[in-house]
Amino acid sequence: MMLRHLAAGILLTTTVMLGQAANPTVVINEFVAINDSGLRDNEGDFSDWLELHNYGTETVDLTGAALTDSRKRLAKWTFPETKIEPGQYLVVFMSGKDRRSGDETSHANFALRGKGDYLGLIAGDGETVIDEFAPKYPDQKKDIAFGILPGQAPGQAENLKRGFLAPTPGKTNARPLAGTVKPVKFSEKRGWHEQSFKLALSTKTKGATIRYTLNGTRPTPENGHAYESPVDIAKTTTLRAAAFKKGHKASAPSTRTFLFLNDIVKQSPDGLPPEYFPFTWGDNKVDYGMDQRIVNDPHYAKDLVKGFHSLPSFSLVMNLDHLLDGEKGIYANSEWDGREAERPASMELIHPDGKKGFQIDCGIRIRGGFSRRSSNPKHSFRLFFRDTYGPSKLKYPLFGDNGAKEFDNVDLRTFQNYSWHIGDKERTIFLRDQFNRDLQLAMGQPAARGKFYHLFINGHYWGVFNTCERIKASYGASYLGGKKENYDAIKKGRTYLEDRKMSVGVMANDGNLDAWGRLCDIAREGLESNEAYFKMLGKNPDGTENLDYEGLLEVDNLIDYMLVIFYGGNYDAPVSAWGQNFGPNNWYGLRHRKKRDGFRFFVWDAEHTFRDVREDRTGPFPAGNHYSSSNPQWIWQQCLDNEEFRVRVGDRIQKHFYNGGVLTPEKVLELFQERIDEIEMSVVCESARWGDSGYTPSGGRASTERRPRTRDDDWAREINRLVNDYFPARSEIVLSQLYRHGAISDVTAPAYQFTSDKSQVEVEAENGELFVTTDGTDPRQIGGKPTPSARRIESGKTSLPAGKPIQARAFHKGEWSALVTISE
Amino acid sequence: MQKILLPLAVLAIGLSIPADLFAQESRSNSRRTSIPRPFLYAYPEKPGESPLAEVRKSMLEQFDADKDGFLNKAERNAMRLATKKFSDERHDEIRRARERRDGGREGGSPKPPERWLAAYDKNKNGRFDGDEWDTARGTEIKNVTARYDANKNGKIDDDEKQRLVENLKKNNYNPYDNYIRTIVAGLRGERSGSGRERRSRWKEFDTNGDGKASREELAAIRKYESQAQEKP
Repeated sequence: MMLRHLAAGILLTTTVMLGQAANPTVVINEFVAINDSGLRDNEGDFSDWLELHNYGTETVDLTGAALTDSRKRLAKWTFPETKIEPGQYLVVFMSGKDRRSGDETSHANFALRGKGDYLGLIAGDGETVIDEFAPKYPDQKKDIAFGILPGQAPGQAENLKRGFLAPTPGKTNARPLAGTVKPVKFSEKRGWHEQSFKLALSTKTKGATIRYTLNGTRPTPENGHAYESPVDIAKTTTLRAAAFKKGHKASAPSTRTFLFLNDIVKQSPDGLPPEYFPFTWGDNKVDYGMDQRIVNDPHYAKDLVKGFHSLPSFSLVMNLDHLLDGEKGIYANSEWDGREAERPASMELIHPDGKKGFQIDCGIRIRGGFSRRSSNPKHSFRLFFRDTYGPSKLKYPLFGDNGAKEFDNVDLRTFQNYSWHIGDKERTIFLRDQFNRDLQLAMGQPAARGKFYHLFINGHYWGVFNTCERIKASYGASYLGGKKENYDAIKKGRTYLEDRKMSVGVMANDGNLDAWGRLCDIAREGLESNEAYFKMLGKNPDGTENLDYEGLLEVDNLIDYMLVIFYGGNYDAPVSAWGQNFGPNNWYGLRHRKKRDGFRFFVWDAEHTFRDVREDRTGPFPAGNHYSSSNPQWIWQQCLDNEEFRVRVGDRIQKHFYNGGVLTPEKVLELFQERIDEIEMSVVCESARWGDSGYTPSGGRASTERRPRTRDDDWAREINRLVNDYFPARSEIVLSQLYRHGAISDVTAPAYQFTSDKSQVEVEAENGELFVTTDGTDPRQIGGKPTPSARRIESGKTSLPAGKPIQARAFHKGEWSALVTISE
Repeated sequence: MQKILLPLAVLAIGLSIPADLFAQESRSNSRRTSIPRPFLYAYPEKPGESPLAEVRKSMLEQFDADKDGFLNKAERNAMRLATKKFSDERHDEIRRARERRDGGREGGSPKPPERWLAAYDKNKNGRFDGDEWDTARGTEIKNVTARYDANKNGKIDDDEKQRLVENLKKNNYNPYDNYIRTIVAGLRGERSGSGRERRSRWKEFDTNGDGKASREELAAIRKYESQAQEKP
């Protein structure tokens, strides 16, 4: 943006110092004290700003002149070497960042207050006031400038009238503004409707006109329909409305979606686009239709209706050119990435029971890796909440009471590797990735939460999607505490390391790779000794805390993460079998730089899981042997050299694979059934939308030569395989795989049973002695000796009062069993 | 000899796993390659009723040095190290096969241009070993970044990206420069001469030429379709 403007005229060569001229010709032309969505500074932020104007015929030297918000400190921020030519405008960002560059990237060391305040331009002598708002300017309005009203002859400031204006940084002041028009109100709630109705639109601003669109575009004075009377709504409709009034800033558009099941199930029955939608999506495969073979099948008709009401719905409303246009649409050019591939949109959440959802204006991008290819007609999305569009955060409990309540961004993912719309895979269940994350959460570890939703795009049904939290610094701040600026959020990616003169396959989404590099260096030197291993954890060799050491690893988190990886037989994370286990993929790590916590790892993109029940991903694998391919499984492998780590692995295996633990068949089936129940009905909807996609020609009608994929023929078959064959057998198979890595003791862990009145618990070791504690400590010390506070029961059997947590181990032939923790 | 035969024998067993193995689906769908897949780690191959007990029994036979029917700490560690050794040897085989095929590059990548080999093949064996590849691409990325970073902020901004991509296109870039394009410019899979649009079968009905379906155009298409179906 050109922030210097040469007015028509002659550029003079004489220069006067501001303050030395008899009649200084510089004024504060306008300023914005609450800049939420207007001018960005050179660092991309919406900083407050003010604009100076030289209305004279000589260049004015501002060097040493000052800006201030305090009459007691007139030289609060002084200009570096700066000149302003005749007729020019100079913008200074009032950001507090204090950058003295002498041009349009200058930042003062203070920000402007939205509530009225003093503001002054002071000459180089530090005393002479050139221009000021005294005693203070009036209370300011968001994204509206305050400055010299247009149409006046240029002159000294005290002679000029000022008021609210449309901001024009770097240019002549434009039209005055009296305020912002109040938003449009709707007479009907968004959501599911059965009967047609008349929709009334209104605004509290008297004299305002309302305009609305039905095609997802933003209403403007030039675009849309003028609202004159209530609008007939008799079918699925997305309506955006805004109010306008001369001399006022227009209201932000309000968006509302009204869904009618009767027309949704009949959308594009012949594959043709809906009204307003394009015939082609650039190079991308096109698929619009709802397969009428499913819709009209008496076996599915009722479940289809139930399916649409079984999940909440997201309604994405936007200019379809931004999405589907071959030249500029992000869906049509799905490989595009980054900020330049982000488009404005409205997103609503609609609950089937009418519970309050939300509407938010946001930025949207395409998300994913493999799924971006143009042969895929159903892409994933990533939503960004920025004050460019609306609120800078989504404030809504998107993941329930236990989840975060505020979000900077959210993913709406589809199901890539095992889906109907890519490759027509018969093993599609939609649950692989989500369920792996569920397992990690159920173990008590942080993980990316997710739920299932229907998605509509400008009223057209787009299938079932899965939300997914992103593992970034903001996630760390929400769930682990602290400020997001202090987090390293790392993942598989690509970074050039100057100090190592090499490109590496890991990157920092937030923060940096320094701590990860230190962790890898320590691990590479060897972790067999307790000195090295515990130092990595911020501890002394005896396991006590040492504040001189930083904690680089959360051991239980790493173990639990790897157990989920092994249980799922994860083929593509954190080491990818597609590259013969030489390279990493799909892993995320998070660490707070200033806390004692170490790195934690997160299951991500666990699509290639639950395949062959014999799948063995326990390794060890070469990925990570060079720093370039570092990953958490390599850290695990290095840690396995340490005996204390192996003991801890055995303890976590005992916790999760026995006594109703998360990875026991019973618990896995229970958790899996919850997800089955969540999506079972909605799978019929997905089947109608995408079940035929694998062999439907682009933009065409579904082939009648093959049946579509269905819930009961396809989805249920794979679900049943997992429920009946895979999950019942998988736990013990994984134990047998882990056994070969020396982490499972041959000493059987103690068994326990509560008495019928729950007042006592009987604990028994199958072999050897029993050691128990009730003070929360481990009966085994680091190094292998019994803890002093541990009770030794030679008989191997005892009865203890219930109520306190009990820790127990068996000891036999000089070996300890895994730890058993007994609590009610 | 046994050292060679054992991994080969296990390799043979691994490759004879039944065709209905789920992982076979991925192999059959993947590009043909001479690099063996690590199917050996589908273990246990034939899980019985109690896989853990079966493995325990098998490991006892191999590692119970004092024959007390029980693996102590030292014996378990020996078992662990043997497992590790077996895997290391297996992956060394794979690595050597990859090097023979690719010259040390990432699997499936094209032959590097001569200038890359000249600059980074330190031991002059005609391929990239060890860190040579990482150094090669890292340095190339750095050089390209320096060349196109007009405002010297250490990264390729949007307009700089555009110039980079245009220059690469003009030069009919070598596929290795494609690597630079995707990594430095952050553009994935952009094809030279891309932007081609699938032709819609309904193009002739798009009477106003805006590419979008209007109510009238849809009615005309459906009328045409229904008439086409009625014709004998």
